[in-house]
Amino acid sequence: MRTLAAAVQRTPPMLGPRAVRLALSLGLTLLLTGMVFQLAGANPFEAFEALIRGSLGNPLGIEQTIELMTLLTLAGLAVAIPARASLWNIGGEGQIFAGALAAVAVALKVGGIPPALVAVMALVAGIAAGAALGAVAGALRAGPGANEVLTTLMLNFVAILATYYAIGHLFAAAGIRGSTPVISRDAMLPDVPGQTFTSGIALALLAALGAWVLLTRTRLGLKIRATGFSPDAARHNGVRVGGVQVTVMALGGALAGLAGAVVVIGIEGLLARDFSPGYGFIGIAVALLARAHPLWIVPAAGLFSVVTVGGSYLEAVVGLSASVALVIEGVLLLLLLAFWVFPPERGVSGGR
Amino acid sequence: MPIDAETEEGRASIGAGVAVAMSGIRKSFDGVVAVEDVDFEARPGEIHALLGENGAGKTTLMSVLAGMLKPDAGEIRLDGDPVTLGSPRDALRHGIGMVPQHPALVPNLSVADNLILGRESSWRPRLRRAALDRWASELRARYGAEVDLRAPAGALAIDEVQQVEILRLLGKDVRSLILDEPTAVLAQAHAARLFAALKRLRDEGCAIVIVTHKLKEVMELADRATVLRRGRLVRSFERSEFDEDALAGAVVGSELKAFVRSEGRAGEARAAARPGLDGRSTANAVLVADGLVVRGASGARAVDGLSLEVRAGEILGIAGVEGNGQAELVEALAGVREIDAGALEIDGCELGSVDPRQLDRLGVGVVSGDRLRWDVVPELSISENLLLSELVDPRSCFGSWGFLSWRRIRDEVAKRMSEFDVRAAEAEQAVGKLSGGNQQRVVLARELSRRPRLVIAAYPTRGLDVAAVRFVHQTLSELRDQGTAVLLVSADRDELFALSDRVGVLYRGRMAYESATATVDQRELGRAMVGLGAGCSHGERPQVEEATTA
Amino acid sequence: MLEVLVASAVLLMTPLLLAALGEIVVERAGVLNIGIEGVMLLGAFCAAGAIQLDRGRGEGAVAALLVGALIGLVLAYLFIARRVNQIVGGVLFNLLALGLTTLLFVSSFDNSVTSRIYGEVAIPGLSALPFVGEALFSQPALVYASIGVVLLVNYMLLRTWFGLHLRAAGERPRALDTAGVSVSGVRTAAMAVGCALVGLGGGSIVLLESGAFTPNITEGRGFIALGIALVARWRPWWAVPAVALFGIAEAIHFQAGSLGLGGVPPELLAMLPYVVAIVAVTVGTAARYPAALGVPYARE
Repeated sequence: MRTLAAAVQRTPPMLGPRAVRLALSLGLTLLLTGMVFQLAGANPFEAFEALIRGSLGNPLGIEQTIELMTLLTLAGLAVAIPARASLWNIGGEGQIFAGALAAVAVALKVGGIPPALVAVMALVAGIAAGAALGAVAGALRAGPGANEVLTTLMLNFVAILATYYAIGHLFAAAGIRGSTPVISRDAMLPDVPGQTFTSGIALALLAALGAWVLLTRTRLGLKIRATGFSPDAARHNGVRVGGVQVTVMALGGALAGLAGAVVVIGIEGLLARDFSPGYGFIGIAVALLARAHPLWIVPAAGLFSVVTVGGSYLEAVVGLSASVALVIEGVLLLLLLAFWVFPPERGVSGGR
Repeated sequence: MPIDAETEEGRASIGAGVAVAMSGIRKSFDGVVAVEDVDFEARPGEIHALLGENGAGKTTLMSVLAGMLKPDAGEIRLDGDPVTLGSPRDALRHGIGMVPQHPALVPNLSVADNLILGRESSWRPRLRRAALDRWASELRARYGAEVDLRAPAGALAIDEVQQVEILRLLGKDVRSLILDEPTAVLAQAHAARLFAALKRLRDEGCAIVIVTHKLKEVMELADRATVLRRGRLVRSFERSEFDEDALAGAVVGSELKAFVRSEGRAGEARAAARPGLDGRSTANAVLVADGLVVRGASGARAVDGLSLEVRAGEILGIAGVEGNGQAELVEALAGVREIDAGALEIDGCELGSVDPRQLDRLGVGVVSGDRLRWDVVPELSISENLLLSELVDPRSCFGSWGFLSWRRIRDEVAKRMSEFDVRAAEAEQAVGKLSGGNQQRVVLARELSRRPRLVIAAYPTRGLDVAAVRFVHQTLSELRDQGTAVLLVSADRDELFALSDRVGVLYRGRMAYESATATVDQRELGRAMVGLGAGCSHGERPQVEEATTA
Repeated sequence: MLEVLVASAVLLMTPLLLAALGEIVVERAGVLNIGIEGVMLLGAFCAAGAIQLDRGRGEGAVAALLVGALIGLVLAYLFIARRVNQIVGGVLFNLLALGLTTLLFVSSFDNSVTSRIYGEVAIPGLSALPFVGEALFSQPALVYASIGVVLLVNYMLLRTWFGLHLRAAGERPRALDTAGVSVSGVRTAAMAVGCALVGLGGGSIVLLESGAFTPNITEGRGFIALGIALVARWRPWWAVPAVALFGIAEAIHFQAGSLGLGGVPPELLAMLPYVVAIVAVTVGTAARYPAALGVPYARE
């Protein structure tokens, strides 16, 4: 035991320059996940090939990939923006549920106005619901100093259970268990012209661009970054740190809420209990891979979407479960962290 | 490794310590050299004082000896045998232990539990409470300490915490005891007790190293003294070789001293050339504080009914031993610490609570003294830091509709960088990558370039090189000449006398002495600093009743 | 009706209690293990795996325990030696564990092997008590054992050297370091012990409730255990009433149909414990957290 203790006490060796460590983590990811595939009874080479074919090699795959990318971009941004102020939004999942619930409520209950307006209202409602949930955690942090990791984690369950309640009691669909009725096709977001995927992707890309502009070009962005790097110095220079904390959590929640709304009125057309395989949590990984940079969120979300959609294709072709995607993503990111491809301690918000 | 508590008594008798020798020690942090090629020696039966200014590398050197830091180069020998001290555990095994400046006891464990921490391996099963308590109280008795063993460490007064820290090391058979600025937080009476205890330990054969920058303590205690300056060894003195002057000269260094002296004369001449400043007119008072009360982190009244006044066109210098409320006063005036009671008026404007943004709008510049914590955001760029307080203020002219106008910012940044001579490759460089002097220029440029009405400058030259020090001094005196009121807090007496028109002494959160610089009574001022002055009405009130471990 | 509710609550409480005790151990040492959900899931998987391999329930429990300890060491390597951020690392590990167990379950498990769950052991006399007797005292052995674990953890934390050092590591690691004890070593060992309990907690879901693994069988119960540790203020004994709060709410949620609760929606009742947890974080000011929770220790 003593030798173990001595071994872990030493400063971790850096294993050469960053490029080497990056290559090492990628290689090890392939090796380890390949071994898992083998263990699960599939040829690793075939599996990796099928992964790409399933997500990018056919129209349906591309459609699914882009729709998933829409959601993961928003879920990633929901983590990245608070992360730049050194706050953890672990509540993306709940905020997505809240957004979806608010959107479906508007889409089902509001009538008598043009359907396009209903769609807009549903989006706004989703954003507002997510923002409110995020703001609660932000305010509890800014005021009594409650750890936002724990409050957002617990708020997830509050939001999810509230959604289950609403699905079960308020908007119960006749005939379909665990789902709301289908909303009117007119009140849904249109597909991108000439394509089969939702125009929600445009919203996601705009959100990423907007977040980048916000962080680099605006007063609020500077306040967020100053708070994230050094709350003391920020306060000393006139930043109201508590206000920034509430604002970033609300912004993060708003983006997650938008993701929830897009699920309902952009993709599925209804709200089912099990609509999310954990988008909010995967968003944390996306934000990490992008090092909380809003523009890098998009390709990071893209990578995750390719792996995830490819994973569900594997289920059909190679007979592996769709959850291979989680294995690949988890192994890759943990290795990137362990090899310090991202510097430690600063966590998600590493870059300027 | 030890061993049951019961068998411990046999080893209670004191064995002689070993000679510790460090040679060629070098240690740098992120490329900044803290200690360079230093030799140091501690012998049993001696108290060795390690002297130097803030940032001279004293603590770094001793942390290396205590196994807290790994040196980049150099060798440590015990009784002639080279050893590696890779952890505090290694150091303890060789009988070396350090009482850190900010004591580290586990606050929610009892004193007894803190004492026995690490006494046996984690893998031994049971805590034998009765035997351990007996051992702890014997240890306490042997060294004549009087702390309550059952009290949680978090509830102890600061001098008791220190006693426990020392006991903790003695309980681990430490024979080479390092104390990092032990008297910085102690009341006089407690310091005297500590010194008596240290002398006793020395006579029993311990090697004791005391890190300090107080010459008086050195003269009273030390058998030898070693002086560091800017991370390098200046000299080691035997007892017969040093007196206060020799040590002072070695600590400050000749270049700086000469410079400060000439500046000092200029300052006095200036003060003399401006008659009328000493006349008590409050007409142009910019900062007026009356009965100010500010609580420190521990909840004690760090500033305790302080009244002061700074007039336009004058520098009021605040002297005092660190820890007498300076930090809390500055933080309160900077708007980051709440003011508990008292009235504060800036430029005729009565302020209930102080808010940094409001201060900025009133034209108050603050140099906080803890640059990397309060003044700059090291990861942000020079231009962002240069304008930080203005950029975050919605009323500033650097943006519209919440967007920042980079063109306007660039112009202003270029202007300020040249005016304050910030030397950097480009304005987008992170401030953390600059040297301390350049960082301070960035701070000054932000706080002073808008002709402030009032400047609060705390330790503005701490850790800076000679050129940067001169620059800071010049800037402050020019501002004063242009009519700015300056409150200067400094630990450097030469700096205070060189710059100030009036000096005051802060003792236990109150003004214990105040006088125009030209007519200052050095002896009275010195007495006020240590709490013996006429102005120290509440004299030796023990601090311990309120101070607890933060 | 009440008896059914209490009996089912007690069954639901055992995995939560074990996992919460494990989390209390690691958090008292200063590690915030968000990965608890994943550890539980892998524990459940291994317990079910043992059953698949035609081993007994005891071996299933041991497998869950050992796998938990092993994962604890792996996570400790990431969190302590490599100083990987504990929040991101934990979330990622949860995703990985979910993926891995689902993948291996789908590919290698035989769904027909089930129903080897623990049988009840009635305590003579007590089980004959009216109303609660059968509910409380006619339970599988693992349920009784979990109360023993509370005692053990309490003893370990308060009465052993390891416990003393562990508490110091979570509160003021520097004090421990300067006392010559390796902070990393103590925290690593705490992770092994704590995660072993969490793993057993996961395993007991299979061993007590369903007898078989299903993907994502824990359904966020790891996070509930995290909340219990909070509500219990990191004290082993307080975990029992805290678990009861969550367990009863959960049982009502599950049995809502048969209970005929009238107007009160079970989902809203199930929400209650989480709200309590949020309140616990909020009113528990920083002073009462293990002070070094989630903070990696480095000397420089």
